[in-house]
Amino acid sequence: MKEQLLKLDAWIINNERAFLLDGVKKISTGVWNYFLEILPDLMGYGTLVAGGAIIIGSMVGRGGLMKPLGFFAGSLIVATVILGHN
Amino acid sequence: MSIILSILLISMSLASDIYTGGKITLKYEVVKEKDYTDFSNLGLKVTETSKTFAKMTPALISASASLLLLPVNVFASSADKTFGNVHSAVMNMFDAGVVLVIIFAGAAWGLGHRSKAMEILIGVCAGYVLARHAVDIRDFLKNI
Repeated sequence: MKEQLLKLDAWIINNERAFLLDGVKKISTGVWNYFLEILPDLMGYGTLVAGGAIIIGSMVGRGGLMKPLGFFAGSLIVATVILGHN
Repeated sequence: MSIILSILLISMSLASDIYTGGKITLKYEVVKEKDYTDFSNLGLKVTETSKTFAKMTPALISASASLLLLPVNVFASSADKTFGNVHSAVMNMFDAGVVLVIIFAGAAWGLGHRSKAMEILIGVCAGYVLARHAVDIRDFLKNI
């Protein structure tokens, strides 16, 4: 009886550990896949926002042309590399 | 819809079961060194209910997988429409705003601020071209 209880104990612990690791892996993979799906839309909206920021900045006179262009070019490079390595 | 699908899948699995003469072959892969799931000494029995569940398992798995896959396609098709609508609306606003900014630049040039007016024109042109090409950038990133 004691051997059976020890077996049951080890079975429960192993299954619980596998379940937890599997759950974390599933959740992180799902979040990353969702991010990959919405990344082109994010970059499209970011393009609109960068254009609007450049127009308004040149109109008001504060805030340069190069700062939004630099941020946008950096994020575009990151998105291209992330989506290109799939 | 899902109920009809699951009933169809269950009936298909049962029909294939009848067609093969009722034989079910299961393949096991032993991964662990020690088998902790061996409860043959505890007096557990394989009942008819467990047999029925074992038959229904592939149908349940396929039905739940199709149910999980369904909303993703709906989201993908609706996101396309959303971005197109938002982009067209924002570009209508930009068309009006850019005209006003160019008028402002012309007034500044006429009042003597020539370099300031050219700076404003360069900024407006760059921003408008960037915002107009948002769809192209998004399509490029989608097709990459």
